Amino acid sequence: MSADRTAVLARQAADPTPPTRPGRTGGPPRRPREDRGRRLFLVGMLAPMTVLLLAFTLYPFVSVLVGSLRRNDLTRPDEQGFAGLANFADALSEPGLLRAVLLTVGMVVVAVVAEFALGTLAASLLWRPLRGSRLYLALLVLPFGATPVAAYLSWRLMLNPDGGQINATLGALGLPTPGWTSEPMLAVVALVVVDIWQWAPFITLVMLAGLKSLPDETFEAGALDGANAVQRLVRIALPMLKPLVAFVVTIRAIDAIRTFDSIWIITGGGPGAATETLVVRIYRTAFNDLHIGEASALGLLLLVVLFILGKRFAAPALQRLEH
Amino acid sequence: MHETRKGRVLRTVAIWGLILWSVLPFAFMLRVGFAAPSDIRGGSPDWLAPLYMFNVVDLFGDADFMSAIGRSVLVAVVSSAIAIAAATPAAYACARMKFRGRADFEFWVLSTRMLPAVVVVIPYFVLFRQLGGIDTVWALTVMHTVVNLAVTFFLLRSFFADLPAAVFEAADLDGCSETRKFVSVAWPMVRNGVAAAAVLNFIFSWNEFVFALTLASGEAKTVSVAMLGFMQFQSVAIGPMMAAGTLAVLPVAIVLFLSQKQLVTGMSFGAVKG
Repeated sequence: MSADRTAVLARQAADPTPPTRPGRTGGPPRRPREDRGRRLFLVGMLAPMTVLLLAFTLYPFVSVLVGSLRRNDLTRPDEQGFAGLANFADALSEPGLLRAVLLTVGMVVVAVVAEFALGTLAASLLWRPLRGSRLYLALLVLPFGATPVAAYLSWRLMLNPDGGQINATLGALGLPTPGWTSEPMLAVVALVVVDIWQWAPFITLVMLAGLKSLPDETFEAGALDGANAVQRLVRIALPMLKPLVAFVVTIRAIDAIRTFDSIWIITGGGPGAATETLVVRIYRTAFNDLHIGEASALGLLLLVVLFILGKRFAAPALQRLEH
Repeated sequence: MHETRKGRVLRTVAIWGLILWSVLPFAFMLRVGFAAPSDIRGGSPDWLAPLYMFNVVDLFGDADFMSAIGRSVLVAVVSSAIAIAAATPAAYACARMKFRGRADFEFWVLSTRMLPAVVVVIPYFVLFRQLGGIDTVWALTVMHTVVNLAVTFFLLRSFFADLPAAVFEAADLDGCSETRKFVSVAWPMVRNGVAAAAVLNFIFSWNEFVFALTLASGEAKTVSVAMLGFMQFQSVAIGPMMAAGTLAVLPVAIVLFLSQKQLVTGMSFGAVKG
């Protein structure tokens, strides 16, 4: 297998549809004096990673695609064979799918916007050194770095409407004690709050690194013009960091769409199906109902959406950052 | 740029508020984990009660939980090693060499971080079920390799890219082969980076939940799934559960303080240098 072949394979796997744009015939012309040793070396360097990437991207993609077209219901093992688009028809006609999609979109938009606003605000607080800020920076990675399952279980106990820490505290203060995880709307709110708790710090660290990379002179000039701190951040700093903002918001949104652990542990998708996002629905369809075919059909649709988001937004944003 | 005293006081108050907010669930976990059953009424602890060590002490005697920790370590170490072995050469090639399709290759790596584990696990669940690999540490090790690939690749790529060009030019003048340049010039200079990647891989594997839940939730369960075991039908052993949470978080927290910068670099695909 030659280096070019590896690259072509890589391109095919990263982009299952062959390129249809006219004029794209595969990159720049080859340099004539690319010696064989170098090419062999390159192949050797890329081969192990290529094998693993094929196993973890192409294989699941093809499997999910094939699985979505086959009858595959583990509760009825005798029924096998080609199903055509029946799985898609089943998955799309089930009640509650639209709700799951809208819930996912709503939660992602609210969480990501709030995380970006709060995360950036916190980063601007830390921009100039201050007592306490070093401790905060040290603790800041805990919410998204330290065993999330443990943190979610802690949240679950605190949110418990019946004697959990939050309601115990509210009750002691004579305030109302709402059913955080037993009322549909509040359960959604609680999960969004937990997501904000977990990921705003990540945005803070990324944006802080960005702010610190800006030259001081810009802001000295701004200060002379009488710009206050908020104006300096919004009018001067953020426009300069536009590529970083685009990148961090995109990867955060893609991650937020995939959120499963927190929902599964804190509410299990309940009460009822109140917090059943698309990913939770896929999990339930596959592993609770054992309708593998139907879950594959839904999964395939989600893969395509995420792939488009990645290709259209994440990859260009990352490229822009590097230049 | 000077700021007014009032401004500084406000900023200080805000930062301390943020500190409290960020550590709240962990503080609760510690308090409940070290509280006697009689000091936990209805799910919230008596914050002023004396510390109670037996939740944690009992865990060390709990063979089931201890073996879950052992399996977590095993899976984390093996999957981390595989990810590093595969991603390091590729990271070097992408950082220091030009070749056709490089951008596509990098996006391909990036795409592994965009796949929802819940979807990826379906075909593997079916595959391992046929091979009899469900509920074994090996199925999980295979899956955790993918969790670690992208972070390892982008972290090491940023380390390789930061190496001074002059060193490589000197090596070229000496007539070094490509292999020599990688093995004798670049590799010794990124050893710390590889160590950081190993640490992060360990953490991500230790923390991972979806693959652990679907492929190894019985005999082969790891720490993150074992913690759920304290939720019995109708009741939760909350003291022991939070003690288990503390044991799960503590080693990770200590290591995180030491490798914060690399964590942010790896998680942002090398976009920022933490």
